[in-house]
Amino acid sequence: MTGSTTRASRPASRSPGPTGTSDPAGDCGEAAPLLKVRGLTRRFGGLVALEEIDLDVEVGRLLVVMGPNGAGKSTLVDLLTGYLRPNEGGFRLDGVDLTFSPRWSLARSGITRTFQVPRPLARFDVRENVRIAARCGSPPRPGRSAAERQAAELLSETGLDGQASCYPAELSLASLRRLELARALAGRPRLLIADEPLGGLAGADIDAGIALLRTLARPDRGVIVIEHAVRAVLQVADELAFLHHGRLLRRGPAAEVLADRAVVDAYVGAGLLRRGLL
Amino acid sequence: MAVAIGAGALALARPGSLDTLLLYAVLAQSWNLIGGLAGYASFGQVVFFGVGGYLTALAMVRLGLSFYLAMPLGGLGAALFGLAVGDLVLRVRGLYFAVATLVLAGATKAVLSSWPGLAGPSGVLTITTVGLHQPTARPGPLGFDAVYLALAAVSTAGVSVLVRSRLGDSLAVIRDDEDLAGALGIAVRPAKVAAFSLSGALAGLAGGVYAFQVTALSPAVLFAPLLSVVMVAAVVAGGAGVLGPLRGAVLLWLLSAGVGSLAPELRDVLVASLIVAVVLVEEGR
Ligand SMILES: Nc1ncnc2c1ncn2[C@@H]1O[C@H](COP(=O)(O)OP(=O)(O)O)[C@@H](O)[C@H]1O
Ligand SMILES: [Mg+2]
Repeated sequence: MTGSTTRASRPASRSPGPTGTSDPAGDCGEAAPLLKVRGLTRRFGGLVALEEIDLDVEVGRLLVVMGPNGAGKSTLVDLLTGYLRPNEGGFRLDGVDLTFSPRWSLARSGITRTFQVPRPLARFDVRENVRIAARCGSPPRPGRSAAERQAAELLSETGLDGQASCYPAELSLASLRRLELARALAGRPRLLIADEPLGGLAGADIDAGIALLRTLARPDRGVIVIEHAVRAVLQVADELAFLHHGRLLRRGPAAEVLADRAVVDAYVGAGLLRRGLL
Repeated sequence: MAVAIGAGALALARPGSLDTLLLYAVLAQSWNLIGGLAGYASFGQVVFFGVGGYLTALAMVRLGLSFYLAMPLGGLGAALFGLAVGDLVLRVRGLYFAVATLVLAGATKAVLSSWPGLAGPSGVLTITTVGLHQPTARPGPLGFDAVYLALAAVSTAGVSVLVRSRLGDSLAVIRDDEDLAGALGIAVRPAKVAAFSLSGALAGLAGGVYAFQVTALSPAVLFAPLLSVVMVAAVVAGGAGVLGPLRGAVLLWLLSAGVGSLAPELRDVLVASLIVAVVLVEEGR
């Protein structure tokens, strides 16, 4: 265990708003953020997938991480959930260093995630998928019948109650993405991380998905959402972090970040590149 | 597949008797815990049967303990053996796990075969059943039936509790998507090792009863590879869950009553086919 779960001075009055230039780990006079990422770096051979990332997430807020394909977004999700280990840097949840905790321990400490490619348990129906996650997540871990009740509540919160008895093979992509969210919520997260929860959706499904995402941040829970689409980002983000080639290019209120010259260049550049125009 | 399952049915002597049916039921529930619920198809499950059998016999012969004390000790010893080796063999899955467990059983058998202190110069450890020094009066056939029946009932009750427990849920996730399990808060290795160890306890208890039944023990008797195959075949034929293994045990028992004995070479081919078939089915699901 690392020592610094408590802080000497912790004034209750200050609002923990995001600071554009965060000072290093030992800051004073700010309430400790829920999640504090510092210097997080991950390389794959010669490729630097993430470089020196600093990020804070506060409870009650939703941070969108945006960036072109290959920017390192999923790598960030994997590092925060034990699916990858960093080469340098680390992160704290509620002041506790969890950088090298095993996956199950991270989940039980309150960091749960969805996967960019949905991975439901195919042998179980929707209700069972969520019940199992409720039973195994962070403490207090419910018994079987309490887990069933929690699952039923989550299915109605995520709009899946009509499909509770469906098997994953019968679900649309939109429903599969909702199931991913319901299952991650079932683990009673302090920090919920959703990797492209709107990915591949269209039309009304996107609007419904945006409405759902806007309900996720709670007074006791912070949220990270990976998302591409500008319209969705503007509607769900309390704060936006823009990644490019593994570097954190800009971070702040969504409208400001999206208006930033470097971000526009990176994004438009990537778009043109995709269309073969650059 | 049906032919391969038939091979397993040849495993035990005295086919068709009630004790064989009940023994199959216990062994099937043992395999069910690791192969059915956790999806780790063990082909060396007989190692627990052998370890439990030898420990039971040694506790009776060397320590003079009652069979009814020695048998639980044998089961406990088999469970501890599972704890000790589980983390190592459970690092690999599928065909690799099948081979790892085969090797585990073969190596344990080889070690016990060449261990001079285990039995006399004949290599046979005998549980005394006549005269003044017998530690426990040997039950008649009905007595053994009753002991096996109690074991089968306890095994089945234990499995039905386990599948509804948090460990049961954890094993279901591990079986279907082991890489996902951690994200749901499941500590994968302890859950797998627990299942392996519990499965070892059941097979070890059965081995203890079998040892007292047979009384003249050698590694060839207690580590018969075909016993491993019986366990696999029962669950493959009957299905996992709580009652599937019992169905499978009945099916194997009926088959073993009907089928005579095959040439050993043919049996080996059938055993090998069963291993490949089971692994392919598991991987393909
Ligand atoms: N396991 C891996 N091995 C090698 N390179 C990887 C691996 N995972 C990701 N990468 C590379 O790291 C970069 C970032 O990938 P990723 O985090 O998946 O991007 P994003 O989610 O933003 O699209 C990409 O260039 C990708 O090819
Ligand atoms: Mg990605």
